Amino acid sequence: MSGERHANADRAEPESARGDLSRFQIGHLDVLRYALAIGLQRPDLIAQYREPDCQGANAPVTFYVALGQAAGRLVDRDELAPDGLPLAEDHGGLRLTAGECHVTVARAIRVGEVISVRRSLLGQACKAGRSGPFAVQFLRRSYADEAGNVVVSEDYSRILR
Amino acid sequence: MTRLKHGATIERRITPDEADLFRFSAALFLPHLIHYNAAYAAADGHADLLVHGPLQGAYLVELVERWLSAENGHIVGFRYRHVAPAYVNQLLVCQATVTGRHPARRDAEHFDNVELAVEARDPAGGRATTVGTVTGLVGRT
Repeated sequence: MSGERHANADRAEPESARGDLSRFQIGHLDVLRYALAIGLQRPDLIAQYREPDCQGANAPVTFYVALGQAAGRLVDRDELAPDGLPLAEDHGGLRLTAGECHVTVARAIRVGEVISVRRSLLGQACKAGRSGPFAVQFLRRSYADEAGNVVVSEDYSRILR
Repeated sequence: MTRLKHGATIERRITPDEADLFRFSAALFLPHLIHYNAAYAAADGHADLLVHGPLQGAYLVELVERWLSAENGHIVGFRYRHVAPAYVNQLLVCQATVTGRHPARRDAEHFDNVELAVEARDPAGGRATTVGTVTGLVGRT
């Protein structure tokens, strides 16, 4: 998977509604690695992904995760914090936990195509919990093909406390 | 494979080990130590290495996708949230149950919408670790 980052991508996580953008060329080995990593129970698809000429083959539904998690994280070793995550994702010592994710799938991502991942912050809220105050961030990652059509949209939240 | 009708259930039992966590981290280029460095995970307050949330999501969603594909169908959306940590070498029971099937709004003559509840459960701990729903589109038979 070859990836590159574009303008407004100076932080690993989005700061604005406009968000940042990463582009990925989807190779068959990227999809094969992902399929094997999740233990995909589809020997027919695994065999297909092994072939370099499987251009156009549908990737597993959740393959977008490999793009979304890598977007903004292709950094040098000296840009990693002690926890292994990029320094740019430091949240001032706050612990970050995943909230809910809501994914809409228009079609499968395909081997050979270029997918652009745009991440944006939709909003945030401060709340009072039993163990103290915490913040909830609402974010979106959109995965679009070269024609600009969004093939997968991922709304997710995360909690900082 | 069991037909997708109301109340039908499918299950996958999996025990992710260190190699599984490493392979998933590698596939995502994700260097977060809580998934492969036990000493760091302990120092960070975890009982053991944490199974990635998206890996649990993938177990559940791909389980459903395989089921739908058997009826010429596919997933159109899903949502899930993690409600408790899942740890390495711990059995996860991933289950999907059909909660609804009805003619699709578009092309009701040929397709049905199917809704499923999904859950990853830690039987030893007696708790769910990930819960959610999946919506699919399948051909009418």
